Amino acid sequence: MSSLSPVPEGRRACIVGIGETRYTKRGVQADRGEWALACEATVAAARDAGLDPRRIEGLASFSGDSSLPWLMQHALGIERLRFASMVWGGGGSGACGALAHAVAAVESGQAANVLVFRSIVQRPGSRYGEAGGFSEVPQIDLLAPFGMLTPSSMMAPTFTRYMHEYGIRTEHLAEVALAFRGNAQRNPRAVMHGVPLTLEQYLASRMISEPLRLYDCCQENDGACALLVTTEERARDLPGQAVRVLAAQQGGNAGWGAATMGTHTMPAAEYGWGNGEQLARDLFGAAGVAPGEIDFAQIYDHFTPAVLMTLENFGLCGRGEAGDFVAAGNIRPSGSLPLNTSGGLLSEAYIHGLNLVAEAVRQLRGESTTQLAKARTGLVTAGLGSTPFSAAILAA
Amino acid sequence: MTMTSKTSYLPDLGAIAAPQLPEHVRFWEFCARRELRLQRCAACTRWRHPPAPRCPHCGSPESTWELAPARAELFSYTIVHHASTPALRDRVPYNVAIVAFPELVDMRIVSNVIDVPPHELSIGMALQLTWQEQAPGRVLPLFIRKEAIA
Repeated sequence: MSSLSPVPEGRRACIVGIGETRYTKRGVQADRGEWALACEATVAAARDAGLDPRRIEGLASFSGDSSLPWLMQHALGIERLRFASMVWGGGGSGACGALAHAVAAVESGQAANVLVFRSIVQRPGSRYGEAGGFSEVPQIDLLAPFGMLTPSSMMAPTFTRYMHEYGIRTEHLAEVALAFRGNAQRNPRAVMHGVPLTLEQYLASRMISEPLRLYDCCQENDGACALLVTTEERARDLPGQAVRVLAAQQGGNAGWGAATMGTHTMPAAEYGWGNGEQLARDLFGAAGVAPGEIDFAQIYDHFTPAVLMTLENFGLCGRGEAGDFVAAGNIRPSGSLPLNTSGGLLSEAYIHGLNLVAEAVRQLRGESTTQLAKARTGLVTAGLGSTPFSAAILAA
Repeated sequence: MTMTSKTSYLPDLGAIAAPQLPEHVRFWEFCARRELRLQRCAACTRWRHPPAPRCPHCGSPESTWELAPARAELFSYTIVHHASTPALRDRVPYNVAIVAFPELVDMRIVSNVIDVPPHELSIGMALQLTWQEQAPGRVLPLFIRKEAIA
C-alpha cells in the first residue's frame, strides 16, 4: 500500500527507536522521579536507534509531563533544541497527538530527530481514584458536588448507555480484560506478568463505578516510554529497522466540548458510542488504508468498554457488534484482529498509552513477545470520549 | 430520604466544588435561590449548558437565563462503589445521574437521584427536581422519582 501523504518520499516520518524503563506498580520508582525515568527511556530509545541522544533536536510530550524541555536539554546534552511541543489534556488522549507533532516537525524540516516521551511517577495524593487529582478540570464544579470525581465515574454513564443500547454484557467486558491479561503472561515487561486472571476472579472483583469492576480499569504505574522519530532518508543511515508512520492525527467528533469532563451534553446518538468516527475517517484517509487492511490494533484500554466502542468507531467491526466480535475470539492472538499484544494499559502498564505505540513498533519489527504471523499494518489509538483524542497507523 | 432531610445526599467536598469559570457563577447563584436556570441565546434562542461566553450556534455573546423544563428523565447513570475521598466512605454506593430534559436538544445536567435504591434506577425513568443544601450557600439541583399520576 502507498501513503497518500503529500510529503516527498524521503522526508516521510518513521519511528527508528523505542525505549522503556522498567514498568512497576505506582510509587515504586518515586525515589528516582520522572526526570530520571524520562532520561533512561530516552537513552534506551537512542541506543535502539543507533543515534547519539545529543543529536535529538525536538521534544514532544503530552498530559503535562513534568520533564520540561530545558530539563531534558540539560540532562541529555542536546546540542540543537529546535522544537518543543506539549499536547493539551490529561490522561493519554494526546499519546498519538505527540507522535503527530513529532511527525509534523520532521516532515516540515523543523527538527531532524524528535523524541516523543512520557514519564510517570505517581505521587501520594494523585491516584487516579482520588478526588483531588481532578481539581483543575475547569467544569468540575458541575460534577464534583454530585460525587463525579474520578475518570471511572465520569466515563461510566457513557458505558451504561452503550451497554443498554447495544446489548453489551459483562462477559464482553471480561473478554477484553482476560484476553489482554493473557497477552501479558508472555511479556516479562508487563506488571501483570505472572499474575493470570480467571473469569471467576474478574467477576468477583469489586465494583468501582458500575458497570466498571476493578479489572475493567487500567492500572496505576511508574515508568517511562520514549520513541525516536526521524525521516526515512535519515533512517537509511541508521542500523535498525524503521517503522513508517502512515498517519498520526488528533481529532474527534463535533459536539463533544462538554462531554465526560463537562455536563455530558454530547449528541444523544453518540453518547453511548463514542466520538471517534471523524478521526477514524480522517486517519484512514490520510494513511490510504482501509479498516479491513489493519492486521492488529493497540487500542487505548483505560476501561474495557472503551475498547469495544473504539473497535466500532474505527470500523473494525460494525456498530453495536463489538460484543459478539470479542465473544467470538477475534481479539485473541489467534483471532482475526489481535489487540493489545503486550497486555495493554490494563495488564502491561499505564504509561498513558505511549507504550501501546512502542508495542505496535515491536509487532511491525517482528519483536513482540506475542508476535503475530501477519503484522504489516497496525492501528494505535489514544483515548476516546473527549475531543481531541488521537490515533496513528504504522506500517513495516 | 425526604426533601426536608437534614443530611444532604452527599457531603460537602470542599474547594473542588467551587466554580473556577466566571461563566458558572450565575448558574450557582440561581441554584442558591432554588431555581434551575440554564443559559439561552438571546439572539437565536437555543439553549446551552454548561454556560459559555458565546452561542456556539450563532455566535451571539448575549444570553438570558431561563428555567429548565419541569419534564426530566434519567438519560444514564452509574452507581459509585469506590469512595474517592474519605468523606464519601459512609455514602457509597451512591448514584450519579445524567438527567436530560426531553423537550430540549442534548441538554443534560449531572445530578443524583436521591430516593431510588441503586437497582431500581433505569434509563428513561421520569424524574422530578428537588433541592438540597450541601454546604452553606451551595444548593444542589437533585432529583426524585416522579410518580405516575393515577
